[in-house]
Amino acid sequence: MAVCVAVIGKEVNFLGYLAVFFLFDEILFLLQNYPLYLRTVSPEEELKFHYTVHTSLDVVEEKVSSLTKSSNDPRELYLGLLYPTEDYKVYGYVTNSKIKFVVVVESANTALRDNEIRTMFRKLHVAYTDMFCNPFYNPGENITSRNFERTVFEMMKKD
Amino acid sequence: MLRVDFGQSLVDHSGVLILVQPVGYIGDKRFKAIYDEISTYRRAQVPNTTRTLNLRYSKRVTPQFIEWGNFHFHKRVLGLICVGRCSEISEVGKLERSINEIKNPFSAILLNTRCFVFDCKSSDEAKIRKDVALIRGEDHTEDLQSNLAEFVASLFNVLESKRLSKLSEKIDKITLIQAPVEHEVFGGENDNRTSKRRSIGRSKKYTGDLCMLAGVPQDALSQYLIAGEHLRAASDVLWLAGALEGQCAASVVLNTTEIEKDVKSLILPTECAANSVNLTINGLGNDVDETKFIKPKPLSEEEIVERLSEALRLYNKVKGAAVIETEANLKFTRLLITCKRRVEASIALQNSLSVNVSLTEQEKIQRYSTAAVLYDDMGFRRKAGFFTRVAAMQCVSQHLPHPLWLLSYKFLMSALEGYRIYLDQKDVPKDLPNGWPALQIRLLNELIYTARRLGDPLLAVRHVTFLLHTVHDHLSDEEKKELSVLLENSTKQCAGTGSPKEKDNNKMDTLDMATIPFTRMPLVRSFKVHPLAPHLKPVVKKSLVDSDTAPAGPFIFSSLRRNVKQAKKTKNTTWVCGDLGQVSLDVYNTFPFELKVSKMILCAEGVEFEPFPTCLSLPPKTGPYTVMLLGIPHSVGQLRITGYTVTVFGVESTCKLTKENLENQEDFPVIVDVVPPMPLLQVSTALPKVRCQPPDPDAPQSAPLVTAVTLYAGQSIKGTVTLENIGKLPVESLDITVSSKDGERANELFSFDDKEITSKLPVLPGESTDITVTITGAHHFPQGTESSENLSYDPEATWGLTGAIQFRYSTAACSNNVCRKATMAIDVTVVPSLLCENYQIIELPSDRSHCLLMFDAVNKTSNDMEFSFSVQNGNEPNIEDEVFTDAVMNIQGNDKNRVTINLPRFALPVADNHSEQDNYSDSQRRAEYKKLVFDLVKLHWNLPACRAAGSGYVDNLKLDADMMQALKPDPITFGVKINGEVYDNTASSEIKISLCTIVDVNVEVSNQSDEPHGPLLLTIEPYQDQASGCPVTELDGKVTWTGTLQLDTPKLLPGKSFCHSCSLVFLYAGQFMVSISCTETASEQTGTSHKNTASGVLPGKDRGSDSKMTIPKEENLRNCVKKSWTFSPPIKINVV
Repeated sequence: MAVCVAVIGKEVNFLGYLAVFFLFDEILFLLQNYPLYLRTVSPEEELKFHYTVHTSLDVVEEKVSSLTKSSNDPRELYLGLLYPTEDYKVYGYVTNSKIKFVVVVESANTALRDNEIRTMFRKLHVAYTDMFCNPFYNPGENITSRNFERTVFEMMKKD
Repeated sequence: MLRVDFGQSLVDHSGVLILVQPVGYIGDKRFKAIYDEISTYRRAQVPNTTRTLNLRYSKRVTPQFIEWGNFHFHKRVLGLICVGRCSEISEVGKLERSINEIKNPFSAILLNTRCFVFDCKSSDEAKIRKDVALIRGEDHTEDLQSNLAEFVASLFNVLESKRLSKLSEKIDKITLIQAPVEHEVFGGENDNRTSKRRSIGRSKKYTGDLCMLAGVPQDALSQYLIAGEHLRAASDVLWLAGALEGQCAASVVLNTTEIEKDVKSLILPTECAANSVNLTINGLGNDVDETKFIKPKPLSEEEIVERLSEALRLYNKVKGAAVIETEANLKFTRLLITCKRRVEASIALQNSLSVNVSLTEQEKIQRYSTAAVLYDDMGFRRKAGFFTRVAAMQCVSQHLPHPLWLLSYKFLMSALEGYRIYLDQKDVPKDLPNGWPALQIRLLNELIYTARRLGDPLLAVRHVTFLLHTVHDHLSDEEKKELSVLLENSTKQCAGTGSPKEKDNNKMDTLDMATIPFTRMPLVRSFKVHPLAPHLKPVVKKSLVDSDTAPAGPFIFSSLRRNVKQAKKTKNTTWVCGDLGQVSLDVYNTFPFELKVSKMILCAEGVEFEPFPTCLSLPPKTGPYTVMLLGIPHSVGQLRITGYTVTVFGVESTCKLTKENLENQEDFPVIVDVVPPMPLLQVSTALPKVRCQPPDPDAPQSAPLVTAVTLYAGQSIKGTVTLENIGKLPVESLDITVSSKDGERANELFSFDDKEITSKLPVLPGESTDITVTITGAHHFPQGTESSENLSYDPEATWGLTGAIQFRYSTAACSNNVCRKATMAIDVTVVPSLLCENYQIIELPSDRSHCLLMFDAVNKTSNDMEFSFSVQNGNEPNIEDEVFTDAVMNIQGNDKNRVTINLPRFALPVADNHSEQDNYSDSQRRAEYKKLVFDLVKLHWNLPACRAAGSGYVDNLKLDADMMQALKPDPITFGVKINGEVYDNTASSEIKISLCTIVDVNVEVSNQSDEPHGPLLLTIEPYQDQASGCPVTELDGKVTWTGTLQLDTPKLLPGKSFCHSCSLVFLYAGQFMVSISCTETASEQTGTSHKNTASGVLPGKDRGSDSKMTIPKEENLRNCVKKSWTFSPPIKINVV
């Protein structure tokens, strides 16, 4: 199903809160995004997906910033299709704590509807939350939880 | 410009494209300068109208570029400017050929050509051709501007005439214009209605293009709208898309009201304004109501986006329109960026990239770099970085005949930012995960590879070190090892090519990137400044150490008080100018390869500092190794240690010191006080040297020089200490103190002659001086002997201590009161010699002014001892000549002799003020007495066998009450007057009186002591001494008296006295004695006491003449301690 699943770390604002008000656009770029987890179906293609996921963050940032600017409503976590490439579709999801999930699926897989992608993200979010509840996990560390890994593998090999 | 113009935007539809080319010999730099100057004129104002021409310049246009010139008129090259340089006018002709060569590919479409010739001296304009313009003078700006304006005006004129002719074109004369992909498709269907409309539509589109170029976008928009109507009806997909694009372009131009500020504007000559006549548009075809398109409103932003997307969809349907489609997508992207619709822009850009168009390698590079720039504009830095990298890869693709390594390198460098790699370390936030390590490593590796291919090992070295430092945590050991090999190879190459600075000049400017400090190669921790060695360390003179200012405020402790910390902070290490300073640090090699640090030195500022390099070689993955870095400060002040410089693999790098480098973080910043140069003394001694203790930096008390002396108690020897000045400055002040770890008695053991020391100063450099130290073997007595019996105290035991003699010295010039100290340690062992014990002090009845001190003099040595003593006059201790010495006595080894010393009795000096008479407590009084006895009695011993002599002391004397009594002079003194004359019982032997005469006895009893006595009972008792040993006191009938012979007196205060008088009449001749005594009844039980007042009977018969204590027989007084004092010898009266 999915060919690549990635979890990207929180944005760390190291300029302090004041700066947020005055330099909002600048901040967006300066914020840190750090891969916490990335798994692909075929390990030899991992670098390629690193590039894909990395570049998708631009769109995530753009979407998140435009959303937060526009409305005060609780944000929809699911960001939808970030961008399609020739072979893949990249979907994004941002938790309220600014942890980003990115799922890459093959474009050829037309069976996947938006709803299924949403379910996938929800599962991923639950798995992440469970993993985060581990008191021995330090926020910002790479994810090594086996349970989380299992969920991801299930998502990737479903068909 | 390549076939595909990746830089296009919608505004470029109104741009008149002018090709600028160099001809002849002009030189790249010169041409570039001229081109830059020309290209600043991007607008041309048509006089007397609001019309503006937009000008575009290009240095390079491939013939393929104009392929689509028919479709989009702005893709044609309309003007050609050749830039040449001639010194003579005749040379201009030579340029002609090359001009033609340039002109040829575009000759069909060029509207005009001009050749700007620079530097031509002659001004003969007649000879030259019309299309050659001479630009003269040093400052050619004006000339160039006018020539350019003229040229643009000519272009405008042609354009304008074309436009006018097109506008007035008759409908039947319209020919079908064809786009490059279409030539075969349309052939024979000219006649039908659709193709007619198609022709009209295309013609309108063409006219619109012309209007755009001629600066009338309003007209252009109406033309495009009409064209759109026609073409839509004719379902001419490609051209409809073109018309739609045109509508958008015209609208955009109309919408942009603000003029870019930095653009220079040309004012065209006024003649061309005449040509710009507005023509009414002729009706073309009846199917479209063209009147509604006159003066149309420009499209809104939404409409533009909508129409442009439609155009893109249409282009997509047409085969072979990939070039136009790509360009349109890019235009769309740019439009969306200006509208800040970033996500849509990114999609449009992505579409443009996915358009399947066969591109040359160069076009690919341009395509990706353009994409990168556009993504960057959108704020999609990662994508920008990605495409910059792709462009870089494209530059060195295998299909290129000559890989463009330099360009690739530049692209990679600009891609770094997108991946959050900052070559300048100060931009990198600390301790935060930064960016995407997997991609960063890859990019950096590519950068290293490219740098190496460029043939610049130095660059490669920088990148390798950068890689090793920044993404250190994410690299595997294998990768690190590879990198180290790479680094080593690269540095070797570097070394071969000479100094890196020379290379900087001819290489590209990329080298000016900040160097990365090698903070990890090696890792430095526990950085610590060492104070100088104890004998070199400057110490502050004690007299000037300020006592801590009392803390203000009522609290003894307050957590709010901060001065504790401040005080800590100011405590800097002190170094001496000209003396070697030391800094220690721990280095770790975290890399899996051997780290060879060929040079490591300290960096310091504030003070002239000469660092000494250190060389290290660290095995892989090891540490910590403690390294000492040395340096000599050469001037006075505050030395700030800023960091260190390491040379690893031949690369020099300066690392700043940070807090985490330090052992104690509070020491940051590291400041060392450098004090002026100081002298240096070397201490040696003639005393036997036992061991040479290595200077231990942890214990400041430790001294390098240790001597040992064994002494008998009481013996003293003199030793010589030689001070040699091995420094460069004279020693002008010297201060000697003695201390000891073992006890406080070091001062008793060692003594110096201050006068001798001052006479020896100054000690000049290279000279040496001797100082005498006297070491006395003091007896070992526990402190506070009176109160507590120290059980562990053994007077026979050997004792000793290690005394440290400190020499604090400095030059007088040393202003800030610091000095150096040299320490000498002397182990002193004191062996017991003469010991005095079993003390006894008894009164001498015969001599009231003296008492007897008796003790056992014990010889604790195994040798025979000669013993002698002397006593000073106790009442006048200052007069030394009244010393009398007894004969020398011999004591055999381990034997003892009883010694009796006649000691004068003495009183303590009476305190001046009587109110303070109680200030001596009993124990104090005893201590005072003991001290005085100690001063009085001088014991001398001599061990002939050992050739040792010394003195002994009675300082273990313990005074009890009896001893005190014996020692003290009588407190009560008697002044006796017989018949009015003072009777001195020591001088005048006897008084002769005749029988039966009255003898008046006047007794004055005075209290000489410092304590009150009394009540007293004064007794005057005549008696007869018949030399039988028993005085006859029963003198009934022999003596009679008047007055009382016994008198009770009240308490007698110190210094007070009372008198008593009585008279005696001796009735028989013979020898009579009169004894006068005073008895103190300690308690005032006088009420019941027995008083023999005027009874004539004498009490107290059996008083011992030699005992001063009398215990009275009377029962009622038995509980009272009685003391009595007697006037002795008694008064002798000879009755004749």
